Amino acid sequence: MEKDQKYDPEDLESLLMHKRFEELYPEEKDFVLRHLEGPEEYSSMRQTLLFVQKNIHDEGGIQPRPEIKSALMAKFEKEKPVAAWRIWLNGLFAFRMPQLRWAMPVGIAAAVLFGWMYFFDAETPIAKMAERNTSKDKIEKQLRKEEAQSPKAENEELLPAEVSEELESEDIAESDLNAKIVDLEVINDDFESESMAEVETLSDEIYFDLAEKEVASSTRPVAAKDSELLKTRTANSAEMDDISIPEATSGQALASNVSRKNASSESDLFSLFFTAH
Amino acid sequence: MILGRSYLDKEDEELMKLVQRKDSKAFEVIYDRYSGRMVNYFYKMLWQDEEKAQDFMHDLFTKLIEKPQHFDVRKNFKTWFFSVAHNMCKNEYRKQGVRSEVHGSVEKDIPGQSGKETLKAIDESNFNQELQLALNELDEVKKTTFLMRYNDEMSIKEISEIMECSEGTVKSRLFYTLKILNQRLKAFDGLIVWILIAFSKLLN
Repeated sequence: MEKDQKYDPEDLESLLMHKRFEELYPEEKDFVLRHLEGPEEYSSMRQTLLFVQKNIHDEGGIQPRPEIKSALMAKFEKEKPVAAWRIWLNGLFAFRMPQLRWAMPVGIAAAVLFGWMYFFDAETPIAKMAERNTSKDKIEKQLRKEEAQSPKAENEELLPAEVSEELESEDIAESDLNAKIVDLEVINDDFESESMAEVETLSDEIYFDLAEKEVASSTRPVAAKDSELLKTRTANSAEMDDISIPEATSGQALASNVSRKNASSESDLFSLFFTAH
Repeated sequence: MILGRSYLDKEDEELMKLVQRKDSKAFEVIYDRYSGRMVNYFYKMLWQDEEKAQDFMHDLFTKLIEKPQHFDVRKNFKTWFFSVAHNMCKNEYRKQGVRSEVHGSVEKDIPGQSGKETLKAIDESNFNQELQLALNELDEVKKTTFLMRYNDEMSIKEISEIMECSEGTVKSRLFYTLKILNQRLKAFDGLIVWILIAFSKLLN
C-alpha cells in the first residue's frame, strides 16, 4: 500500500453504501478508481450492495420447529445432576415412601430444634421450669433427710454461714425458709450479744421452765421444747438468720444470761432458782 | 414457561454462566435468542436445505447442553457460537467434497445448488433467488464472510475472530465477494435498472 493512502477496502464498502460517485471527494475518487474500473462499476456495485442489504434478511427466512425446543429442554433436564446431600436425605426413605419424602428432613429439623431448646438454651421456659423444680426437689430431699436422721444428729451444729449460702443460692419462698429454720436445731456456744437479745424476748415463764429442766438434767441438751419455743418466737419475727439457745449447763449460768430489762422478773427467777436448790 | 424479567435482561455471557450450572431457564433464554438466527444461517450456508438446517441447529444446541464448559465466559458468546456453527458447516463441505468425488458433481447432488444452466434460465421476478444461487456458487469462505457481514450484521472484528483470520483479510474478502456477485447479477441488468431507479427515488 502507498504511504499516503488513507483508505482501506472497508472504507470502500463504506463509500459505496453512503455516497454516489459524484459525491466523492477527489482523493476518494482516486482511491475508488484504484480498485474499480470506472464510475459505472462503482455505481453498479453500489446498487448491488444496497439491494443485498435491503433484501437479504427477507429471503430464505425459516422458523425452528417447536418439537426441537421440547426435545432440547428435556435433554437439558436429563443432564442436570442431583445434589448429593439431597440423595442422602431422601434416598432410602423416598425409595420406600416417595409420597412422604419431605417428612424425613422435617423430622430431623424438629428433633434438632427440640433438643436444643431442652438441653442447651437456659432461657426457654421449659429449661427454667426444670431448673426450678430441680432445686426445690433438692431442698425438700435434704429436709426430709435431716428429719429422718437420729436425735444425735440434731445436736450437730449448723453454721449460720452455710444456711445463708444455701438460702441465697436458691430461690425459695419465705414460707419454705421459715419452715427450714424451724426444723433445724442450731446450737451455738457463742451466743453473747445476740443470744442475750434473743433471751430477752422470752417470757418469764419460759425461762423458769428452762431453768427447772436444766437443774434436773444438766447434760441433757435442749431439744423438743426448744423447738416449740423457736416456733413461737419465729412466728413473731420476720427475719431470723441465726437462732441460738444458750445451752445452760447450770442454773447459775442461765441466770447470768437473763436480760437486765426484765429486772423484776429476773430477780424473782433468780430467787426461785436458788430456793429450789 | 414464564421467565423472570431478570433472565431476559441478562447478557449472553451471564446466561452461559448459569447454563454451566445447569440452569434450565438460562438455557431456554439462550435458545430463544439464537435458534432463529442459527437455523437461517445453516439454511443459507447449506444450500437452502431446510431439513439439514433444522438438524444442524438441533445438533448445535445439543453440543451446548453436553459441553457448556467449553465456552470461556470471558469471551464473546455470539462469536464463539458462530465459530462452532461455522466449523460444523466446514465439516459438511468437506463431506460434500468427498461425495462430489464419488458422484462427480456437487451441483447435481445438492438440491437448490445453482448451476450455470440455472443462471441462464433467469426469472426476472426471482432476483432474490438468483442472489442466493450466486452466493452458493462462491467458495464457503467468501460466502460465510459475506453472509456474516450482511445477513448476520457482524462487525469486521467479530468475523475475523470466528474465521480466525485478520481484519484486513476479512475486508478484502468482502470487497471481492461483492465484485463477483455484481458480475454474476449483471444478467439482471434490465430488472436491476428498474429496481435501482425505484430504490434511488426512495433514498432521495
